[in-house]
Amino acid sequence: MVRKTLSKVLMTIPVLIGVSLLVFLLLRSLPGDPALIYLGPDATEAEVIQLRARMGLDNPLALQYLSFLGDLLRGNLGTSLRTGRPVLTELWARVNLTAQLATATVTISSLFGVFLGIFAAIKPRLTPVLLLLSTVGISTPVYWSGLLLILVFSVHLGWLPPAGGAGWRSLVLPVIALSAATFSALFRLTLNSYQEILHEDYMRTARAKGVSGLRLHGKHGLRNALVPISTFLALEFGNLLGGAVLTESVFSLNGIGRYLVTAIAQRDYPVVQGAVLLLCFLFVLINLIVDLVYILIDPRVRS
Amino acid sequence: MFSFTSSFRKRLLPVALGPVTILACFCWFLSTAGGWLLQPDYTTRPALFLSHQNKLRPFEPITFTATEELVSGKIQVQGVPGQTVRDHHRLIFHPDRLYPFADELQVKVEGWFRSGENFTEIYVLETADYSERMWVEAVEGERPQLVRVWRGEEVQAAFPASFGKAGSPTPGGVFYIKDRGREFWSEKYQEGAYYWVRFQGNYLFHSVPFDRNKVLKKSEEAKLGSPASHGCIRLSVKDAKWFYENVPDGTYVIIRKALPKPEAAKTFSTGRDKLVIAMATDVVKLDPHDTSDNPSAIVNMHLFDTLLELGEDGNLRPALALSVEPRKNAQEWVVKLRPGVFFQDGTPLTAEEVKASFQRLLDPTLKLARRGLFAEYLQKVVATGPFTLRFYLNQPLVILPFFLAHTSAAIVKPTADGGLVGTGPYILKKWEPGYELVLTKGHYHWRKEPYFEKLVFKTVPEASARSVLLETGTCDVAFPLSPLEVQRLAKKDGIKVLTEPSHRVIYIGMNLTKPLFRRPEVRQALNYAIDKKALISRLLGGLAEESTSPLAPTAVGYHRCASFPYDPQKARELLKSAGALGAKVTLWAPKGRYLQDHKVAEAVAGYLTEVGLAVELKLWEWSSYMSMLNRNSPQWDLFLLGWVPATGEAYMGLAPLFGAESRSNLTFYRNPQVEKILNEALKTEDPGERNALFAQVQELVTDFAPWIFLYVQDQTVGLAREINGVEVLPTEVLAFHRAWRNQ
Repeated sequence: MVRKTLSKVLMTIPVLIGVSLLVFLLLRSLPGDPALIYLGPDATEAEVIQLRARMGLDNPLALQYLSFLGDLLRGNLGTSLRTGRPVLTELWARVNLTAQLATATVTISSLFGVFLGIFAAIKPRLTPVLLLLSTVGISTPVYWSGLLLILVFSVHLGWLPPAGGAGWRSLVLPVIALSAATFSALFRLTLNSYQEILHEDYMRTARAKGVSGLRLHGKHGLRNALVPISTFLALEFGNLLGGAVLTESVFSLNGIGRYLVTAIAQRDYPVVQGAVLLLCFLFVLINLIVDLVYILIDPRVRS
Repeated sequence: MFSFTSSFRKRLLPVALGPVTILACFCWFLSTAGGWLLQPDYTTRPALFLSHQNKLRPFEPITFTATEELVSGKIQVQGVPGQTVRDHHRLIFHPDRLYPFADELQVKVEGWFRSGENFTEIYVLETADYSERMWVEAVEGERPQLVRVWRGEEVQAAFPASFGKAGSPTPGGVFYIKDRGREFWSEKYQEGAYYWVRFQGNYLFHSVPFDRNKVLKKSEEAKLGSPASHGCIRLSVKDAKWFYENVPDGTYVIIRKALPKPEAAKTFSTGRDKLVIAMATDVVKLDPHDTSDNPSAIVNMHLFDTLLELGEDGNLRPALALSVEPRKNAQEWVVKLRPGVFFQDGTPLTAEEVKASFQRLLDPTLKLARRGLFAEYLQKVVATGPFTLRFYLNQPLVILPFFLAHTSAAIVKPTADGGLVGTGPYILKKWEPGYELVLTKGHYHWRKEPYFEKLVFKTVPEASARSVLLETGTCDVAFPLSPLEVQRLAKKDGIKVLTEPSHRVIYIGMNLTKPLFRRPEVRQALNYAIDKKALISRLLGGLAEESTSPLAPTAVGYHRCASFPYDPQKARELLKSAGALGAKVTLWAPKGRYLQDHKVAEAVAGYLTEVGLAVELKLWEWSSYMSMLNRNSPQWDLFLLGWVPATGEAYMGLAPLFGAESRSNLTFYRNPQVEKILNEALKTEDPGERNALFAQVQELVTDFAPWIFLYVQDQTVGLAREINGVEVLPTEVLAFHRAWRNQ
C-alpha cells in the first residue's frame, strides 16, 4: 500500500512537467503581446520594444521555458509581468479565499446532499418535491442565482454584504449560490446509488438479521454509497478551486479563478503558468487523497 | 393646476416681484456698498512674527504671533509631523516627534487674517544640539502620566508621575532646573515631601507627600500616573531620589500637553473618515512612470503631483510649478517651482528633486514604461536654482506644458526601502491586490487639506456588482457604469449619476492600402451609411456625442468640421458610381473593451449591408486584437478602435493617428501637407495661431474621410447623493482632492 501511494506521488512529477510545457506553449501561441497590452494602443514602437526587452520576451522560447523550469525547481514561480510582484505570494492570498469557498461549499452540500439523498431513497413520498428542487438547483446558472441572492439579501433585506471583504459574512451568499448546484447534483447521485443499494442482497440480509434504522443505513448502506460520492466530491472540489470564476466575479471576491482569467486576458505569462500549475498540483493532491480514502472505505481496494 | 398657474401669473406675480426686487437691491447694496463701508484699513498691512530667537530645543512649540486676528492657519515643519493650534492672534505648532538635533528646518506657515488677506511664508529655523545632553520631558494628559529623562535621542528613564489636578494645573512650557533639597514642609497644604528639584517658582519635582509625622500618604502614592498634585510633579520616593541625584542644575525641561489625536476626534463623525470607490480593474503599480492603465493613474494622482495639471475644463493650471515658460522658440523651458511644498516624508521639494525625478523617468537602464513618451523630446533637465529649472528639448515643442501635466510626468522621490514618495495629499496605507487599496491622509499639504481621512479603492469587475454596492451604500463612488445601469440608477433616491464628456473618440478606420478605399466615393458612402444618432440613442443610452472632427470637443485645439448625415440613399448611389456595390469587406472590432463595442460593430455591419456591401464581421478579444492590428500585416478592411490623446490636446490626437510613420496610424493615411502643418504647429507659440493650424488638419482629415466618424464617448460615474466635489477629468481620471460629504 505504501508502494502504491508512493508511485502515485511520483507520477505527479511528469504530470506537472507536462502541464507546465503545455501551458507554456499554449500561452505563447495565443495572439497578444503582454508589453502591448501593458502600454495600451497608443504606445509608440520604441516603448513597446523597450518594455518587451524588460519583460524578457525577446529571448528565444526555449530559453524562456528553461529559465521558468529552473526557477520552478528553486520554488520560485517568477514575478508578474504587469505588477512586478512575486507570483507565489499573489497566488497564495487568492488560493486561500477560493479554498475557503470550495471547502465550505463541499462541506455544506455533502452534508445536505447525502443526508437528503438517503432520506429520499428511504422515504419515497418526498422524493418528487426534492427532485424538482434539485432540478432547479442544477439548471440555475450560478451568476443568475448569485445576482438574485444579492438582490434579496443585500439590496432589499440588507442582511449580508454584496461584495467580498467583510470576512466570513461575505462568503455566505457565494457559498449558498455554489452549493445549490453541487448539492443538487450530489443529491441525485446519492438518491440513485442508494435506491440501488436498498435492493442489494447484503441489505436484505442485514434486515433479515434484524438490523435496522441508523445501524442499517449507516454501517451497511452509506458505506457502500460512499465510493461514488467521494469520487464526485473530489472532482467537484477540484472544479470549484479553478472554476468558481463566475461566482467570484459576481460577488467581487478576490479568488484565484478571477485572478487567472484576468491574467490570461492580459497575457501575464508567469501568473497564468503559476496559477495553472498550482491548481493542477492541488487537483492531483485531491485525487491522491481520494485514492487513500477509497482504501479506507473499501476493503477490496486494500488487497 | 392650470388655473392656479395662470392666476399666479396674472395676479400674484406682479405682487411678488416688488418685494423680490427690493430684496435684490438691498442684497446688492450690502455686498458692494456694505463691503466698501466695512472694508478694513489697509494702510497698515497685517503681519506675522516668529516668536523665537534661540535655536529650537527638543519638542519646543513654534509660535507665530500676528498683528491681527487669525481666522485660520497652519504650520508645517519639514520632517516633523505635528499639530497647529490657533488662538486668536497666535499660531502654535506642537511637534509629535523630536526635531533633528543641530540642523536647519524649513518651516512653512500659511493661513488667513481676519481682514481677508492670506499669507504663506517660509522660515528656516535652527535646532539646538542636545545629542550628548540630558533633558527632561513631561507630557501632561498621557495615561499613565510619565516623566521621561532623555539623553540625546534616547529615553534613559521613564517615571510614573502625578501632575497638577484640575484647578491647580502644572504649568506648561520650557524650563531649566534651578535648585534642589532633601525635603520640605508646606504649612499651607499640610504636606511635605522628599527630594525636591525646582524647575520654576514654587513648582517642583518631588516625592509622594508625607504628613506632619513624615508618614508617606499611601492614598496619594496610589494616584501616581494620574493627576493629583497642587501643580508640582510627584514621583515615587525611589524615582524622586534618582531624579534628585542624577539630573543636574540647568537641565532643560519641557512640559507639554498631549493633544487629542485628530483621528480620535474624528471617530464621532463617520462621514469624514473615508470615501469608498469601486473601480472595474485593479491598480497595477504605484509608479506613475511605469504605468499606463487608468486605475493606476487615478490612485497615483492622489499620491504624486505633476508640475502642471489638467483641469475639468481641459485647460492647464499650475500645480507644483508656478510657471512654465518657453525660451528659444520653445526648445528650452524655464520652470519655477512652488516653494514650501513637502514630500510626505517631510523633505522639501526643490529643483534637485524635480530634476532627479525626470532623470529617473528618462533613465534608459530602468526601461520604465512611460520613458518613450518623454525621451522622444526631452533631452535633459537642469536645476538652475533652488526653485528654478530649465528643460532642454531636442526640438521646439510648444505643447510641453501638456506633457508636464500628464500623470506619467509626476514628481516622485525614491525612498530608502525601494518605494516612492510623493507630494500628493495621501499616502499608501494598505494594499491587498485584487481587492482593495487604502490611502490615508498625509501630513503635508500644499493644496487645501483634503476632506476625507481615507480613500478606499475597491476592485469590483462586474458592472452590476458596482451598482449594487452603490445602491446598498457600501461604496460612495462607482465607475464606470454601464448604460443599462445608468438609466436605472438615475431614478434611485440617494444616488446621482454624473455624465461628463471624455476625450475618447470611437471610430472605424479604413485600410487605405486596399484599392476599394482609395476611391473617395466609397469613403464618403460609408460615412453616409451609418445612422450615428440611432447608434448613440439605442445602443449607448445617449451616453455619447456624434463626432464632428477626428478630435473630441473637450480636447484643446478641437475644431468643428462638417459631419456626415445619415443618408443611405446617397450612400448607395455613391457606391454604385464607384462600382463598389456588393464589394466584400471585413470589419474587425474588439469585444468588451469599449462601451458596447461589439454591438456597435454589429449595427455598423448591418448598416453597411443595407447600402449594398457584403460585410464580414470579426470580433476579437481585446488582447489578441491589439496584436492583430499590426501595421506589418494589415489584413483588415475596416476596424473599430478608440483613441484618447494622452496630453488632452490636438497634437497628440492627430499626429499619432495621421502621421505617415506612426505605429498607431492603422489606416495608412499619408498626407505630406498634414505632416507639414503639424510640424509647424509644434513651433507656433501663439495658441490662437496654433489652433488654426490644428483646425486645418482636422478639416483636411475630415474631408478625406479615412474613418467612419462615429462618436465621442461620455464617461459615467455613479455617486452617493451626498458626495460632492469629485472631479471627472476628460482623460477618464477621477480626482478626489476636493471631494466632500454633505451631511
